[in-house]
Amino acid sequence: MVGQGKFGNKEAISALVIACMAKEFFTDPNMIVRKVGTAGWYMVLVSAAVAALGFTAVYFLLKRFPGKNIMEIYDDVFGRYIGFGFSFTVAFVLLFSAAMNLREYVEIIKIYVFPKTPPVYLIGSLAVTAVILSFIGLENITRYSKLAGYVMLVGFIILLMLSSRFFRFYRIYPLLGYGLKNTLVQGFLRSSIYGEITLVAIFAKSLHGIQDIRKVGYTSLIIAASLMLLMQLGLTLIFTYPFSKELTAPLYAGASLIHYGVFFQRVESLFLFIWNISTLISIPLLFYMVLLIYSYLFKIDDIRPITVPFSFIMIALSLIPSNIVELVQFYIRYLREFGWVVFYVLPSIALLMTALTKKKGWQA
Amino acid sequence: MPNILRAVIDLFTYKPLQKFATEEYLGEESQPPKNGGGNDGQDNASEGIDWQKILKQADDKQVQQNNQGNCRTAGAGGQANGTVTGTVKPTVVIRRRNRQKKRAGQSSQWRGLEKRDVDLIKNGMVASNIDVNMEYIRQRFSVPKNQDIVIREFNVAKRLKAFLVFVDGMMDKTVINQFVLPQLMDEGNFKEFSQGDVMDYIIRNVISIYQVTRIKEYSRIIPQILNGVTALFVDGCSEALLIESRGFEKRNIEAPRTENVIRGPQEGFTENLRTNLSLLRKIIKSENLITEILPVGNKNRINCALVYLDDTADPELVQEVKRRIRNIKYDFVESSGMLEQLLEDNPFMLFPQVISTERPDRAASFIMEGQVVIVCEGSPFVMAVPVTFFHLLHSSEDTMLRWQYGTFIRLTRFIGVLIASLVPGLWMALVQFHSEMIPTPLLLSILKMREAVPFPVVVEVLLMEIAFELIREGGIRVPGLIGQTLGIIGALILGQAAVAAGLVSPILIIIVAITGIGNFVIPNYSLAMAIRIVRFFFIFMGAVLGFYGISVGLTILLVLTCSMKSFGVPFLAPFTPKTRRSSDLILRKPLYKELVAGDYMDTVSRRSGLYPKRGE
Repeated sequence: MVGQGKFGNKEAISALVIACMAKEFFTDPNMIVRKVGTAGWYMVLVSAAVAALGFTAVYFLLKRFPGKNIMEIYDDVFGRYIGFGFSFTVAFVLLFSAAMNLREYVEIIKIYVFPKTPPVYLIGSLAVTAVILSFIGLENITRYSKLAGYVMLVGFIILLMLSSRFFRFYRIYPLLGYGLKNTLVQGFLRSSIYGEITLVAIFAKSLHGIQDIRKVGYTSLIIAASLMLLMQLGLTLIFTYPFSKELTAPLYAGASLIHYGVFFQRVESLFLFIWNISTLISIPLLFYMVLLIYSYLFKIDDIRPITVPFSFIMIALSLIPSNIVELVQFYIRYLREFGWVVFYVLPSIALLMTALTKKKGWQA
Repeated sequence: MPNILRAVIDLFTYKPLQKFATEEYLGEESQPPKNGGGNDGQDNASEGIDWQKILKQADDKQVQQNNQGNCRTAGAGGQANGTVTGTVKPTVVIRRRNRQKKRAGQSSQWRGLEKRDVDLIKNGMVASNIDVNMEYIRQRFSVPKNQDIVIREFNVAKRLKAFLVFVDGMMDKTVINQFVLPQLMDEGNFKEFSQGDVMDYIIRNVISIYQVTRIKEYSRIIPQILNGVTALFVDGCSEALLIESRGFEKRNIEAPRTENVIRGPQEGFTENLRTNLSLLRKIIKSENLITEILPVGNKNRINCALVYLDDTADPELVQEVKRRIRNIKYDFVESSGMLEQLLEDNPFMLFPQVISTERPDRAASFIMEGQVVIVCEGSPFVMAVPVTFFHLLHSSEDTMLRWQYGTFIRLTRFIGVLIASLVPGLWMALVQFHSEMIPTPLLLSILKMREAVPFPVVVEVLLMEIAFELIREGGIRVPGLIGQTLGIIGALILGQAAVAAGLVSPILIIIVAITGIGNFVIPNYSLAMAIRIVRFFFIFMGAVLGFYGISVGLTILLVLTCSMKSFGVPFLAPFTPKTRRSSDLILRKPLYKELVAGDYMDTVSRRSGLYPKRGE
């Protein structure tokens, strides 16, 4: 396998947090407001709690099979054929997710920055980046994530601070949004917004042990949940919820409000770097995970020959939605609402099977 | 067909066994030369040597002398008359040789030569017959065609035939004229010599030179001669004496030309290897400072010295550096710049993977951090490996100044790197795609200025950047004062004229000037070059896709940079991957709180004495 390598916890945490957060910068806040109204800021915590349970299942599964990644564990638990099916499903969902995130990003950036640019031009440039980064390898992607992570964190905090003058605390009411039950249900359904945390199970061998996996998983989840809470809370305080529902990318719209005097105004383009770079990390990361799973399933030693063909598949998938409405209302909606089945339920089934069969790593 | 012919010739050509050379004649290990001359690894270069010619000429000479009844006590100059005085007893040598010759029988095709001499010379060893050695040397150095090789024949104590070989201009004539030739030719110096080893007697009693070495193998003698050492061959001795006599013209120590500092030492390296090594020794007075000399270049065989602290540098790193230098298969390595290209990990990466400096104090600090310094003959720049990005941003002045000032100038440099690489690209993106960011009054002003400019922004930017590069390159190439004048003409007049002519907008002049100044702030020339190239990449990306394009460019460039390694050390260490770091990266601390070496270097003694290795 080329370039998977070993890396540290901070690198892994940065990559996972960025992968989780990148997709939340676009239409997701809008969707959350539509579903739960003003309760979005704590709905993300409900989702985080569900994701924590899901990740716990993944962690226990990895713990039972030390030194193995999730694909090997599926094979050990279910046998070659069912294991193949499980891993293939994960790969497909990740590829589809990468393609849809790519399209979502391109649609948003097209609306705000490149209104006359054909989408294929933007999609192609991102796919080329994904191919180049895959050639360079996971180790270096995660190192770059760490490098960029600090800068993006600072940028994100600056964005919130600069927006704070538009915060109106009365906008947080009604506190329960469209109802507590609705918030809990939606929180559960949308727990897949943290689904990227379980990618740690795919590159488990790149970390230094099960303790590191646990640390990486939970820390990433906590950081991602905190950032989402801040972001969602900030947006709730900036925009009234009926208005939020009308915004395609509320965070971008929030950034465009910032102005301090005549000179410091319309700085939202500056914050483009945050979403650009986070997308440029998250999509190649998902893409690389797909390549890892596929090369494992078909016993391919080197991922490089399949990189370019897969990039074409990703481009093709991203072009399936005919417009942004279809993309958001159908594809992204179902990915977010049912992604948890792939991210958490499949490992939970495997864990259940191992508990029933008393199968463990060293026996397998 | 020629191959078949060559194979047949090879089949019938005499090829002595290697065993002969190693067992019989290398049993007594010669003392390795300590004089800094590269000598190992040099093939005997027996190809191209016409053995038949050497032996025939030597044999003819020998027969001629034998026929004249001229014993070896006689000089080649015809001074011999058998008047043996003093205690020299060359007749003993002659008798012994005659006996050996008789024993060898008449079967040899060489009538005047002994079989042993023939075997020795064919194995690349010094023969005891001086004529054979002389012919060998003549042929190896193509004498008399090669006119700066001097072979000085004379008689030791007026009896023993001998000759000196040296390269004219590379040796100190005083040494030869005052301390070698007169002493060897003086009979009085040999009064106490009785039967025994002439060479040993000469070393101990005759030549008053501080460094002399006995060597048997031509493979070690020839490179030494080419390095300026004088070789002495004496008849009857199957060894040569290498006399340290190097003394070629060299530049004096001057202030560094490319790494000026306000505060700090003002002496720089020169082209002379020994001078450079002594400059390092002058700063690091430690018995653990090791200097190993290795020759580089298949044909020109220049010497390069590896300098490191034995108790600090990672032994694996030292081995790796040596392995890479030894494996260089390149005919002509001119200086450190070429050596750098042959040593680096990945030649396709833009950023330098070896750091070069012309400051001895900087090189010494690298050594103290556990790096290996490579000093190359003929170059005033020495290299240090491994290198990280942070090394390239440092200058020796940082530590000379108080920590607050040091931190400030480092941050200035870091901003300089960002400006030099990104500003023109960001400007392109801003004007082309994100003009809403520009405040309205400024935007109006820019539009007004650009009104008369006929080109699109990208052409305007490229025009100015290329003009700036031309001015810079021209300023470097033309000598001294004219260079400065050219810079002034270029910067002021050309810029002013371009604005007046309506070719570029005034604000672009400011952008290009800021970028250029940002680039001058970068202390490492190679890094500055890389940034100059990167700038054009970002201009392209900014022109094509605005901030998004610059983000793509940054991502690709930084991921590639993350993948870079210098002798196994990641380029962005100790930041990513994180290691227990040296605190001396961007921000400086008070000196007493700073650790010398980070563990990303994997040094033996992690702090050069300040903090212990993990697990100790």
